[in-house]
Amino acid sequence: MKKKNHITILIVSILFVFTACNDSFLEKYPKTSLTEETAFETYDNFKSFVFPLYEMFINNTIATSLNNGFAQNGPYLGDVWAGHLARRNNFNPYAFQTITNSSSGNGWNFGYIRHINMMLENIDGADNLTQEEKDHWKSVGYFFHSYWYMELVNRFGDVPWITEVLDETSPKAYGPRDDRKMVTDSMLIRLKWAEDHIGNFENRDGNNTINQDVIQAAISRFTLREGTWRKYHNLGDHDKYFQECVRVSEILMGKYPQLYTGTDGQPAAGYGEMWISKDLSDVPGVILYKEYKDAILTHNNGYVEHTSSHIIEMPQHTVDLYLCKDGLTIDNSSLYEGDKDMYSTFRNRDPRMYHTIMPPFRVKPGSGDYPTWSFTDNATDREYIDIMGLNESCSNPGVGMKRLPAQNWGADLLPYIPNLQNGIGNQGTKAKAFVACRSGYYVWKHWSNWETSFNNGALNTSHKPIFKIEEVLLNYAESKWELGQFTQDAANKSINKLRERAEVAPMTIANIDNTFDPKRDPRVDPVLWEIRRERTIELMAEGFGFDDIRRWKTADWFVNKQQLGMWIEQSKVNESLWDEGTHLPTRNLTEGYIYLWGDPLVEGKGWLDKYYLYQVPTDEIVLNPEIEQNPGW
Amino acid sequence: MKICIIFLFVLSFQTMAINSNAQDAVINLKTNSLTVGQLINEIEKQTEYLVVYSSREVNTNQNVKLQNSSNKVSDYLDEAFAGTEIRYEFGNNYIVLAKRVKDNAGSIAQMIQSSQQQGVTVTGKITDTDGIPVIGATIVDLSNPSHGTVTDYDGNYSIAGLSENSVLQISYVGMVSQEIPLNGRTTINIVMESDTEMLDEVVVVGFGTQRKENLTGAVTAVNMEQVLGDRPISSAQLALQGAVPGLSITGGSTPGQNNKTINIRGQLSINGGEPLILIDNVPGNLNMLNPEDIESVSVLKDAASSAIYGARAANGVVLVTTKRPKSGTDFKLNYNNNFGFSTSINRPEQAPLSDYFQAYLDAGFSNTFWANSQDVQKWAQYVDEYKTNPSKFNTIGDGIFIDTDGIPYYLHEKDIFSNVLTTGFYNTHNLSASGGTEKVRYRMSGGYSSEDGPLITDKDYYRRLNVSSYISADMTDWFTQELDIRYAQSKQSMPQGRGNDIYTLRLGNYYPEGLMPGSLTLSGEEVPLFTPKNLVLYGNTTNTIRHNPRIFSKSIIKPIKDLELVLEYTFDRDDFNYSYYSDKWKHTTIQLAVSESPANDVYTRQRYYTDYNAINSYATYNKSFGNHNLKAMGGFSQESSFYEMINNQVKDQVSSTIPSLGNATGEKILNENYSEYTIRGGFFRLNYNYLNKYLLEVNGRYDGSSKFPKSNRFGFFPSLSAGWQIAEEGFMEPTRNWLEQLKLRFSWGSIGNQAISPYQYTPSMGINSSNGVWLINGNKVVTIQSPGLVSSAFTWENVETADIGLDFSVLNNRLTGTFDWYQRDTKGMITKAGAIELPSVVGTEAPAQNGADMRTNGWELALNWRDRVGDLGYNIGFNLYDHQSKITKYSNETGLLSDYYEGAYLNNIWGYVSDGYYSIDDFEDTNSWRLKEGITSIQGYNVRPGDMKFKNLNDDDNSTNQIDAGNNTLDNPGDRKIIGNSTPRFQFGSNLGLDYKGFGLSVLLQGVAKREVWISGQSLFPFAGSGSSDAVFQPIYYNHTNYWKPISEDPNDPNYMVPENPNADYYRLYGQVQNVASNTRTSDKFLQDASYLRVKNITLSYLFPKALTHGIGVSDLKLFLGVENLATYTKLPKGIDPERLNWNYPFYRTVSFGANITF
Repeated sequence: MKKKNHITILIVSILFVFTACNDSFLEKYPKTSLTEETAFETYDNFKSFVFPLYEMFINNTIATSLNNGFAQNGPYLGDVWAGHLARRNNFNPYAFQTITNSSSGNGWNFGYIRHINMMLENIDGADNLTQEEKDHWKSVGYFFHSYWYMELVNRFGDVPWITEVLDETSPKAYGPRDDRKMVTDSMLIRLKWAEDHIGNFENRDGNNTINQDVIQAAISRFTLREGTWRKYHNLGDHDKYFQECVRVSEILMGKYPQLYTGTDGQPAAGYGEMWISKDLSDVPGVILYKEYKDAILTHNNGYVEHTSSHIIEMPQHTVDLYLCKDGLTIDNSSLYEGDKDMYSTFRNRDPRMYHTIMPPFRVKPGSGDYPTWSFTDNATDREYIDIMGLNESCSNPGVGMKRLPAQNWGADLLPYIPNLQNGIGNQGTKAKAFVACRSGYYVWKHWSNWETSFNNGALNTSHKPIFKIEEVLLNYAESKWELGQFTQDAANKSINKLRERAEVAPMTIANIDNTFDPKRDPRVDPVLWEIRRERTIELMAEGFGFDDIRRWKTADWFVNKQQLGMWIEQSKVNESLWDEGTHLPTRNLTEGYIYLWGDPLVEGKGWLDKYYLYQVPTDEIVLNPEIEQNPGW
Repeated sequence: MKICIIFLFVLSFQTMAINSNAQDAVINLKTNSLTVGQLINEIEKQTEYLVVYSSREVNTNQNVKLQNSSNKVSDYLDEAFAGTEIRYEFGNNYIVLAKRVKDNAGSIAQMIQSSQQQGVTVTGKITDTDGIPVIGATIVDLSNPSHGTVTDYDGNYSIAGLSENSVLQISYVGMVSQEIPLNGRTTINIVMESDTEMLDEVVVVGFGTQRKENLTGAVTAVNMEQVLGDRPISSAQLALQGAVPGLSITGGSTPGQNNKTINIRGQLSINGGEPLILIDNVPGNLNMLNPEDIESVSVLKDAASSAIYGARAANGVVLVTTKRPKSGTDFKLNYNNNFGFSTSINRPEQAPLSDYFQAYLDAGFSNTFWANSQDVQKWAQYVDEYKTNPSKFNTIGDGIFIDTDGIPYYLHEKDIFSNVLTTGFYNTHNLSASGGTEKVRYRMSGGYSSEDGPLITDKDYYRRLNVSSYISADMTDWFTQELDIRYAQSKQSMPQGRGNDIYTLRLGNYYPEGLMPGSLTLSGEEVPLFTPKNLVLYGNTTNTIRHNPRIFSKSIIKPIKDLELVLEYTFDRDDFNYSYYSDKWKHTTIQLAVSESPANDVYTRQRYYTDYNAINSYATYNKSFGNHNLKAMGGFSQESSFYEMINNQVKDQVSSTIPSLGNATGEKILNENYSEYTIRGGFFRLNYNYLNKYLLEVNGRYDGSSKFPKSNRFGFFPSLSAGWQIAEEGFMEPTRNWLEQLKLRFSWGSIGNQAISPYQYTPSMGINSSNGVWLINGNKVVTIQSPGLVSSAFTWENVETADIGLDFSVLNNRLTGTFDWYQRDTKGMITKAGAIELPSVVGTEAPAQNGADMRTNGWELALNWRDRVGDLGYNIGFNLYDHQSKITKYSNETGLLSDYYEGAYLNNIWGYVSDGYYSIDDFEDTNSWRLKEGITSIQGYNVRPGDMKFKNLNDDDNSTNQIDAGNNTLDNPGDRKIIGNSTPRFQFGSNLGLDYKGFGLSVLLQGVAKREVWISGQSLFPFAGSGSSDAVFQPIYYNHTNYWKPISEDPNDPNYMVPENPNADYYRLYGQVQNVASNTRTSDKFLQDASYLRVKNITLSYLFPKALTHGIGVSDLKLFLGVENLATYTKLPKGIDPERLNWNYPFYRTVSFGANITF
């Protein structure tokens, strides 16, 4: 029995060892992540904490933000909502009142704001940083805070102004919306503070990061938008915004005196190549851009435009907005040859049009002058091939920027344009399923030949601009006009620089009167109309359209336009044509404009004034009854 | 092999006659010191005698020291039982050992006399269902119960002195008794059937065992041999499917993957929660265990049964007990194998190309189709002609015809799904050796199973090797040590497409297989087309190797009578190794461009392991005081789990033939991850019963977990259960002839649920060392994420279960059954971050907190009928169960439907109610397409004829006679209502068995009687319910062809937009305006009925007569033939398996055969 006792004692003592009050046995913490106490100690900590905020530049809540995938899910949409562009497969929901209620989302998002506020709250306690470094990160924080608030205000008007980290118990979480003017005034103060206090840490942050120029470009965009909004939506106190816009724009115009003229030799090459360049780091006029690199970070913007999946096209009325090379509207220019033939539609027009929509051409498929194609006997067929440059190799990747004839992503030749989705093959209006559209005006802003295209994973690496001087020039011109200071000199410093690069005759203010564009919105001053036209054309397909027509409070003019395609014979297309009398589709005409979508007004729809502000998601009001809905929703 | 079944003999036999010479039989003993049991073994081995005794009366473990030198059996017996009440009687071939007080010997003499009486004499043979003679079965004349006999060594009997209308009662311990009227016969052969119900079954429960009749909780025990049978399955999970009411096992079909979800009595919590799977008391990986090594599985369903395992047992416990031989069992060597051939059972089916082309045109597309400008009408015509006369076309590649325009047409219509499938092969081999002497018990086994799945090639396979070694030794009479060491290794290989596109539903059936001729590709190369078949042929596989060593040590000490101390230690390591090299390979689509994919080859190496250490120590004390029986158990448990994962991905290998982490030139993404938790707790159980009639059990556990903050770390979880054996009561006397058992049970218990991931109470900020959100000079940047909100107060979810159960056994144990009703309240469920909505201005999700309650109600019924008609034995088992869970508390006062809300049943499906299609009569005119006054409109859509119409269920200020989603709240759900629920309801399982003269047939059925699911995508909607631009990529499936179609699309035609088929299955097909999204919104019209019945297995077997096999030294030889997944009855679209609800790695049918040999 003795042995038995020993073993019993042994077991009891083993149990004792395991059951001893050893609390550490139940204390387990993660091994690979930081906590708030350890995350804000060094300069590089702040840098790493700030980088997630650069995601705003690809967050498509902001219409001008880029998209790593398809631009049709990003910047193109801003101009689709404005009616400047159209989607092949669906109408503009703002024109046909099919905007549905939002129960959540809709841009009412404060995630970045929380992230920024957390950093701002931790700057003062970061003892390892110098005051200069602290000011720098505070400035960067203010920039991003304001950049996101620009969108919140743009969408909703009044929004809660949040400058602290909230949790579920914070009163501010359940507070009302703050007055738009209070919010925007606060933003302006912060942006100006940041403009003054941001340091030059390019060597530590990287040479393409938030700096004083970026902050000034943001101020330029913000102040023009807020100033015009206040003015046209009758909120008052707008002039200081225009003055601020002129101030920062002039500073930037001094810093960025040159416009990029491109490498590929077409007219307005620098205009088009801004979106398809291999490297924007040394391109004049670029203030901030998004870098892409092979196998590291790629996008699909170019690829999709070489496929059948690209759905963005231009309706006839936007084509008509482009001036002729003499600087005159199509109604007044002697150079205009009419739109009954696609070649004449494009002839003598503002070359920026060629860089936005694909010009017509026709070649013979098969090996000939070049490996997969040769010229036809008709000289007209090569008119725009010669202007845009020859796609000699027809390969993937190919050579050059926007060369013709076009090809699909796999280098399959597209022998002619127009290539209408519902064109009839044996009538020469439907060549291939890819690179097709319904209107005839295929948008190819992100198209290049040199980028490799691939249907399995993104391989495009062209850099994309985020802030550039062209916008600043247009902000300047518009602000100057709003201040009553748009002199010929101001036009020469801004719009005419853009005209010069585009090889379009300069704007002469004295010549602009009521007859300059008989098709303009009569509510708008003729000179202002031309400034806005320049902006619309220069920034076409970059996402500004919808925000612009809302701040001008002329959205109905653009959105209610019936979207039509090119002029064509009925025998060449399996689509209805447009009945000018009824605005309805018909198959009884021998030729006419392609009927794309109905006339919103004929269908009893059209722009609603409630669309000027977005709907606050209904869940937010349910969760916090202090939040009031925007009018009309 | 039923170790959980102990035979308690009731002495009821007689011997034939006394042979005085028999007492002179002699034996030789090697030692004089042995146990009674060993002595009996020796007598049986060395003489012709069978020794018959009751284990209740004769203690076989008793040691005896023999002085005898005569070697006479009778002398040995005299000595062995000297001083005891046991005496012996010799029969022809028997030695009967019995207590003196009963004086059986006297009754034997009487018996002999009565058998000499005059009357009818009946002879016959009694065998069991396997044809083996039943020795010692009692045959009694019911009209004269003192008159009877027993069968001899060959099962023969002869009984005289009967009258013509006598009724014989044949009984034997462990067998179903039979009553047989003579009806004038003089020869009656009888087959007896073993009756497990009648046996005093013992069920494994937490840290111990319990006699089944004394169980008070809801426990279902399954004998693995019964559910596994000879089925061609390598996983215990599959064997348990449908076997236990309340235990639901669902998921995919891929062999060897952890893709099955196990669940007891429904979803425990909104956070999920799985049952605790225990292998010999400690968590383990059921997939890595050879089911052949499993003895039994107990499913502990209610809180009272599982509370002893504490905070992880809230969703019940699946308690797996491995095989342990008993003392004094013969050496047994078993070999079995199984060979099977598997073929897929359910594939998607595309509509014929003619229908596809028609649908394409009906959607309003131009005739010029697809990338190469094929003309749809021509194409349709070519396909048609090719079908009847393929030789007419001069095709290249796989039916590619270049017409005069130089445009390729793809004419070969095929089943791209069956092209990736072939016959798979399954085989297993198991070898085991087991046995036990009085002091040492052992079992060693080895198993190998191999499955080459039904995909073409041998790239999809799963192989597993198991070895185990168990030894248990009684080192002293008070100390026993057990050691169980097992090791399992598995290897799985699975072809990997790009993503999951081997199972794409997005490829038309005209797609050529094989190689695209070089004359067609843009680069002039001949390369494989991008079909599922080629993906399998050319793609690499993922390779997974797992190692699972497990050591289990158990020390048992019995320091004093009735007290047992146990110390268990378990180490389990799950070691997981994964590698996949994507490589790059050239392929083309029918767009003809040759591309190499992926753009950058990726080599992935993942390795993780989990080290699991567990210590359980507990003491059990057993005592009876008169009619009071008491059992007390208490103990301590401590477990720790440490998980470490390293996951590396590198791009651009120097050489594709030797991919390695070091040979990469491109981007390297390196990750590590740790997760650790510990649990510590003390537990106890008290059992008390009076007369085995009134039963009471109390359990409790005090448990702590590292997953919770210090202040809320520990919890106490009590439980209580009681039972009443009603049939044992005196007042039930009148029913006793047909009602053998009637037991009422009640239990209540409370358990914590800690099934959340660790570290949730620590606000952490993730670091990403390589974030592509921004590049600086071509390099990704380092980012730090902000932390979410954290609640420091959260603690266990608490699960309370009340269970009322009834067990019964009637009609001579032919029919047995169990019914349970339960209510389970899951309280303080941890709402995951964001589950409770915060205003968005907070900028992050709400923290996890104990914010919600849920109630589950359910019931379970199991019925078994077992009987025998002559040589034919049969049994039918059926189980049915159901449960529903309802949220009883949730901080969603506003009733947002995007979230749980109070009163919501789990898995409710909200949707619209369809109301036919819009017709032209609903519109004012065909120009503006304005709807007439009073016709319901749809928010966000300008409808046209042929669009889905929905019932207007609700109007508010913003919505009059308009279909919309309202405020998305319970008060204003718009025009939606609850149209279904995807919880499987009325799940059932059934098994049928027949046996006849060594032949056996078993059938297993399993299914769900009611379930609705919402399935969208290709299998349900034409062109996948997507827009026109995608239609060229989207085939039409067999069930899509009946869509709304206008007679004329010409506005001047009187039949403009008047449908050919107003009651079509589908809305109109769209070319342009995308009302598709409205038409395909969740609605009752396209809600699918996911109920099903599956014939899981049918096995036919034949057991050779022992007489035949004995001669070659084989004790059992069985051959069998079976089919797994024979048939499935479901209304779901083809290709959608009801167990998984999408198209993926196919479910398959396995036809198998094999042999089971025991030496």
